[in-house]
Amino acid sequence: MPIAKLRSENHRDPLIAIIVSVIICSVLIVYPLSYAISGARPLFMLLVVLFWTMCQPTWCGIWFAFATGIFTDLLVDAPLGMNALTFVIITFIARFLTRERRILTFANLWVISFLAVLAHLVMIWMVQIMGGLQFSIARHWQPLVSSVLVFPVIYFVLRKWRI
Amino acid sequence: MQTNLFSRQPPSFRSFIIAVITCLVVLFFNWRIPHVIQPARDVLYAAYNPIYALASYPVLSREWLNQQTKSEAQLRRENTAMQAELLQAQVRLQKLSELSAENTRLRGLLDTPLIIDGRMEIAEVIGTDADPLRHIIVINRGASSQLKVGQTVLDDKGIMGQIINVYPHSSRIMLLSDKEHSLSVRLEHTGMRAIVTGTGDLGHLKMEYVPTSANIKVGEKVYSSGLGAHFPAGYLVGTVSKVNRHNTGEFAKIEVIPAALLAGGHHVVVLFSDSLAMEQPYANR
Repeated sequence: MPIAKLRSENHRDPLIAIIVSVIICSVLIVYPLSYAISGARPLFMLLVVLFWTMCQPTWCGIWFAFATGIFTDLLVDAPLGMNALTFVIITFIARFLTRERRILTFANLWVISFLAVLAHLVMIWMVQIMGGLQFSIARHWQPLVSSVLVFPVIYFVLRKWRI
Repeated sequence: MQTNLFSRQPPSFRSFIIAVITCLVVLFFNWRIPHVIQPARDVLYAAYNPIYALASYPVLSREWLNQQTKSEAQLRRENTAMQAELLQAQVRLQKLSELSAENTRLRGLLDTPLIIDGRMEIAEVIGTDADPLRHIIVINRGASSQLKVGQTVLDDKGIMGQIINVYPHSSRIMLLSDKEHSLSVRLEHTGMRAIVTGTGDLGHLKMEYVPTSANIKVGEKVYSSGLGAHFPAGYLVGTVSKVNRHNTGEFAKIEVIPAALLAGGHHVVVLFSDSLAMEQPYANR
């Protein structure tokens, strides 16, 4: 007798989806935009990394975050290790604080993504201050809104592969 | 196969610590010794090329779509506009050829010795000195046209400067406005002698060693005096633009605006006439 709740057809192998989503994100983060709009470009890579590490914890963990972070640093010509550091810290803290939860609902994930983007921006800000890089404070916080708005889209596109 | 029920376990601290330390090490390398990271970056840029190409594809395809979806009416309009433009350009071209013929005639006229006493050579300005603090231009005539160091250079308004170096096919000219350039002058009304020196500013010269009591008015013209061994007498140098007698020294501060277009101008005239001192037979007596 088959087990009714197994839903094995939903547990697809997410490897292809992970790779494709990372590639699409990297295209989106280097897609040429005008200066005015590019300040508000959502942090696609962070959102996708967060989605995979929260919804596919068996596949993606700290080292996935580290690898994508280094990949992003090289892609956008940031100081090498900067995005990697924030991705690793955010992933670890998010996973650590949700270790007691069996199921993460969409609302949970949305709130977590907001906090993660905020934490990412604060950490990048601190690194840039320490590194003495010139940047615009007003422009720095614009991705917060756009990322929060984009997260549902990413979630519903990738939902098929979550556990 | 059933997935692990307890898959939501916290990640291990050990891998987290290792990852963070790796990040910090990489950041440190990137900060202190970026040349170690650079080769890796260069290699990976090449690997990223497809991503950049993919990212630019929508932009390119938008242009392509724009080209493809132009309507016939739009193309007709564009064609009409371009034909009108072509007609205008052709008319302008005719005018240009007429102007060029006129230019040739005028140049021929200039080349006659009727206008200026003595022989002269028309030259084109072909360059400036690399040092921005010096006011030196280069012309396309040199020793092959019998030019010599010290010859006076004019444009159609007045004296520009003098030749300081002669090469086979070019010469360097120090302009009046160069800080190291001085010239003996005579004032229009009183005939008083003075020295005009460059200031390093193309639009200003200063007149030096004029006593505070001298009778000089703003607007008075200044001519070369011909004293000293370089410049011939009687060519316009500039106009007095400011006289300041209120300084504490015994000399007045006088500014002169050069008559020649030192900053612009394309053609210059090199004079072959001698200075007054050379023309007077008993000058060294």
